[in-house]
Amino acid sequence: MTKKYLRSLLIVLFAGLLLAGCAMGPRAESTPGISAGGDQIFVSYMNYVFKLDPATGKAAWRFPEKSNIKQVFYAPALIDGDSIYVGDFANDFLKINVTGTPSVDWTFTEAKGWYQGKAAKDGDLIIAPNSDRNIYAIDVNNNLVWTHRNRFAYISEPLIIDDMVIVSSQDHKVVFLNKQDGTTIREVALNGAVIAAPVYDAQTDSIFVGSLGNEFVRIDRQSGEIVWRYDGGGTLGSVWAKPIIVDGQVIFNDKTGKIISLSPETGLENWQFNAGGSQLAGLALIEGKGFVVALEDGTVSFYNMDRQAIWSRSVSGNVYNTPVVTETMILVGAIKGDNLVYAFDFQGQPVWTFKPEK
Amino acid sequence: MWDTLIVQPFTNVLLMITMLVKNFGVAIILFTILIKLVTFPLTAKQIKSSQAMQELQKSPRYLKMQEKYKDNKEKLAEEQMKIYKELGVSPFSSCLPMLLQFPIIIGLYQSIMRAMASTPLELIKLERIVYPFLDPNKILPIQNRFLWMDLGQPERLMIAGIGIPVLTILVVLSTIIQTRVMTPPSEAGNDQAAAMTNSMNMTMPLMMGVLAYQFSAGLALYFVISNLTTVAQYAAMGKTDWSRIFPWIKTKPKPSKPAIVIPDLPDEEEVAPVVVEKVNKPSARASAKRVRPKMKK
Repeated sequence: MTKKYLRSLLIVLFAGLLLAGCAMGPRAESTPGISAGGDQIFVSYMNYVFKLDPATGKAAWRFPEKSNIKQVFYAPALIDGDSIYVGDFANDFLKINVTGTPSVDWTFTEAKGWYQGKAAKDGDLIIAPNSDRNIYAIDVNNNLVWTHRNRFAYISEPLIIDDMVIVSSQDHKVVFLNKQDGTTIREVALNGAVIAAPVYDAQTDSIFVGSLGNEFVRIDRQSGEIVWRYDGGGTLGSVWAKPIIVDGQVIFNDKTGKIISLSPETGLENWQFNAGGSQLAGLALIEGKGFVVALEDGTVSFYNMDRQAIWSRSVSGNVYNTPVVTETMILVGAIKGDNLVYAFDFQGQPVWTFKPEK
Repeated sequence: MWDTLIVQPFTNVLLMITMLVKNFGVAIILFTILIKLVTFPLTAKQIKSSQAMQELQKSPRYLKMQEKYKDNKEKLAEEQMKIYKELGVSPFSSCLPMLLQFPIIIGLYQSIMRAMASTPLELIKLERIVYPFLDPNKILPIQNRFLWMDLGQPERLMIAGIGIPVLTILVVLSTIIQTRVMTPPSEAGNDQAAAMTNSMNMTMPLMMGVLAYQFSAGLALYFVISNLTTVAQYAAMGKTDWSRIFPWIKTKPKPSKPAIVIPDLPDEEEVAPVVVEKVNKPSARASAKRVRPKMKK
């Protein structure tokens, strides 16, 4: 009997060792996180963060050089001069120096969940949403300033306005926090989970956001009151992406393909049209020219502000993320296609594509 | 087709249970038990078929036949087929119920994975398969917290800064128990079969442990409940020899009604009398003694 127990114990110990050695990393399906600033382009995808050459689309480097199977990146990097801040699925949040060969300045390791949303920064304070239901506020020297806990994973990019941190919650809420200590100022309940990041309009001092509850709302930032709620008379679908505010209009899209312009003041509809397919990615504004729409099936179209389609292109794969606009290009991330990133100029001409080397 | 017929209904039932009990972890437990109950007739048939085969293979008639035709494989196969036909058993009869259960088990696994959408992309995919009457936009996402676990991520219980994979340990232990319950003790003399059984008994828990360690806690929870339900089903049929799992328990399962009645050979004269050797094999030392040449002094 003792022998049997000894053998069982050895099996369990062996299993433990084997498990520690054979771990194959997190299992999750997600989309490339693209961020651009100045002449820098970063793409977070699977085991790497890539820095792309804006002229050629070739990877200048990748981080880490040698992949760690447990380290998976999907959150877009926050670009801050010579550094980027990016979180991974190994529950780590990193500050990486990106001048020359990338080097890790510090790693914040206190989270227990994945980093999926892009972090936000204001002064010395970095706000990082995490799947462990916490928002982490960290200073630039890697000191934890505060945490705020909720019931659901935080997956969208927070918004920092003056002394407030405003963040969408899957708990059917928009949460307003005190930037100094993370205490809750207020929570505004919506009809469905809020996946899209909120957008701020200084003119009305309001937050605009849509939810999976087939609604789009304006929330007064000071009072937390829902000033108006738009549901298109019951025809609006779920809203997965953040809106754009341009020329006195708030423009957003829903999953069914509708693109809708509202008056930020009153919530009254200016116009709407259907882009012709399922769209989960948001609208990307090209200042002074118009906006880009990316459908799930890979159709990328550019519309001027008079809603005329100027050009339309098709990329291989499915698009779920809002295209990123740089000074000269539109970057479209796709999955299950020939390439991971497609770059177009503002006339719709393909500039380059990027596909990570195996 | 697969999604529409299997994964989608399973996912929706799981979500309905979640809405009823307001807890996804409890819903996984109840859903797993429910599926196991629904597939119990198949499990029972599998157990009975397997028992019938075991009884047949241990019967004097079968052993005599094997001994008689041990040098004529073709004839042996022919005689085996005859006896299978005569008694209405088949070595594959326990496989069919198992094969029928496979799609259900895979569907159950996939529905749990789908419902635990952890990324926006997974949430989009989940939203698309939820039936409209459940109002997906209102009920999603599912609250993944259960006890100390986030069911959408691999489970670790943090104790003094060390993440202990409690659920993985439970999966390994429950799989050890389940494999011991399901695999009959190997017969003396059948070393190859015994080695295979032992190897299976060791690799299965390890494999399940590796999966539980890496995949979401929700899936590991399903593994544990599924294993325990299987053990309970075997116990309910009186097929569990608890002394194989807990050696300090001396009780053996009650002798149950034989799964098949094996008649004697119709004409005994046809078979040469077989001397059944005593079960106790000579020890290795004794055998060695017999073959060791005498050394000259």
